[in-house]
Amino acid sequence: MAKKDTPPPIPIYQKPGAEPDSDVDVFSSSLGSTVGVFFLVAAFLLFLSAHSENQNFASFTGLFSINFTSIVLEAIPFMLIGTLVGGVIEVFVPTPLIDRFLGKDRKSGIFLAGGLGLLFPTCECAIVPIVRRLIIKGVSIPSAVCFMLSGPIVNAIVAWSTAIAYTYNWKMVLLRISCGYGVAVIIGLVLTRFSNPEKLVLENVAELSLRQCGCSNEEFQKNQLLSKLLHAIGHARDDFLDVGKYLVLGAFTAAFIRTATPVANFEALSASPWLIILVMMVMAVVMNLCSEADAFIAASFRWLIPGSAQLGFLVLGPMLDLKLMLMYLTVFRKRAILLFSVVTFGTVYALMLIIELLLPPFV
Amino acid sequence: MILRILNSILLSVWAIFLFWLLTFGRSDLVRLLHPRLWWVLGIAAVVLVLFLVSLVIPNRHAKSDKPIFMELPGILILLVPILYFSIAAEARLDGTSLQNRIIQSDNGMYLNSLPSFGIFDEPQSSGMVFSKILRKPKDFEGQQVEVVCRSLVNEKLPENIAMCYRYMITCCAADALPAFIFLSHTSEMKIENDRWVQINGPLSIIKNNGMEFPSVEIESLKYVEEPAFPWAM
Repeated sequence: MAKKDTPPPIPIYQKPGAEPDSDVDVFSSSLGSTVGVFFLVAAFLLFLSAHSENQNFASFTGLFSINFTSIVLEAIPFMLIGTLVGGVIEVFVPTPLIDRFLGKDRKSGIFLAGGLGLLFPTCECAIVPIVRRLIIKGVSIPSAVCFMLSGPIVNAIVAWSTAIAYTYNWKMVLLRISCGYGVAVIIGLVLTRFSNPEKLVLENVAELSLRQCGCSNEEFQKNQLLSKLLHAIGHARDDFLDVGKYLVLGAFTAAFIRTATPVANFEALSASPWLIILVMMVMAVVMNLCSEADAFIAASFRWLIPGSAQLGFLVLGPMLDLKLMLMYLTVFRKRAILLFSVVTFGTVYALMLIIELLLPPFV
Repeated sequence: MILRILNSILLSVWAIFLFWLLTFGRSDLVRLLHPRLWWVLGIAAVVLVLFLVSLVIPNRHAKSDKPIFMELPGILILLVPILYFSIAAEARLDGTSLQNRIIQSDNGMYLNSLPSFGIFDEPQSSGMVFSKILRKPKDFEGQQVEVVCRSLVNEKLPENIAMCYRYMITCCAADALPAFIFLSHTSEMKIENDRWVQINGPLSIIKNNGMEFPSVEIESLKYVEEPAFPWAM
């Protein structure tokens, strides 16, 4: 029996919802493991082809490896920082504050969420773990999705890189930010029409949002700072281990497509704006560029294609690409991801067609 | 327990890998990631160490989440990039990737324009005359220049014309775009394809389809080792 004056032990972080408790969990994990094993086999075979005597194979694998490792090295620090921010939010941001501004009863929170990137500049690699943690913390799904889509566009760093790439063409900068904000808010508002948007989220994330780990209760908040920090780091670590593999899978797919697909001959397409906008948007999904670097790629097309097509590339890319779609799997159900993808793609496309029709040339 | 050990190994391997890249592996890292992002990699390594510390602190209540066979693929997947780094360190963006990444039309290739001024500090060892020429070719018109870049001999180019290129990097090698200057040479001169060359000669500007391209008339050509900083920026 402990003596009365013995200090209470420092609470040690424990992952909540530790054991898979339903058939769905077990099935989903088994399926995930099977996909993982297939991926590992494919990755190993491709790795072996680098040592093939066939020069084409060896060259392809070499270029693929450069693309793959550089995407991972660029993205993983931001994802780690994102998980850390998520852990800090979980432990240190009071739930009432979240409820007040972005909670389930605050539909106007969508408009605030769309502009949060201005306060917290975030790239798309960091946004998924943060949003995952925000949902667990109680942020409404429409607001969380709105922040997820707008955060990598509506921020100062991206505005700056776009301005540099387009040699201070402020029209392009303004259009990119306002379109990013507009599309995200529209999709957030669409989601508010759902009777139960929580159903879009994976069961285990939704469960965590109900149970949490006790970080928010008053008793826990009385603990020492060190103890709270350890909890925050524990949350961040779990998020990294959960989301990190999807980042690798996404980067692998992106690098493969990037290596295998040449930049097309655009001259024939540029005469049809509706087609070239579509092509550039598909390219944005396939190329998986960082939102900080994509403006330089888009600007390299400025001699050839209309501004609306470049803008479509810049608005859609940070919201929807292959790497992101795989990372979304850690938060949302597959049907929800399909829904976001179709609605986001459609909204951006419609907006770009309107811009093409109504605005004079701006690049 | 086994899962904690495996996760600890995973985090240790990544942390050691990142620290190694930032210390002894810089010559490889520079070929993959823009130096201005290296500090973020440092932060990532520190975060991984924190994760590791949080994992190895004894926890009496810890219990494994799922069976090992379900978690193992995820752990191995996170190690795949490190496996591929061994290939990436030896491979180079070359003429093949240039063909894939350059924007072309029926009239020829388009020159990627560099930002009108240096956005980021250029490394001292970079030999950045190449970037300066591409940024403001008119400043060098008629002058004797020396550039170090990679040769591209292509049958689509006019007779006695070759290209010399570098990749312009903004974030990482996957985002890099080719930028080039033309080289004009005598018909006796044969230039080897896809080799790093040091070129001396006067610079002129040629026009094609409304675009201006810098061109160097080769007076001397020397095959050289790949520079420590192979990018344009």
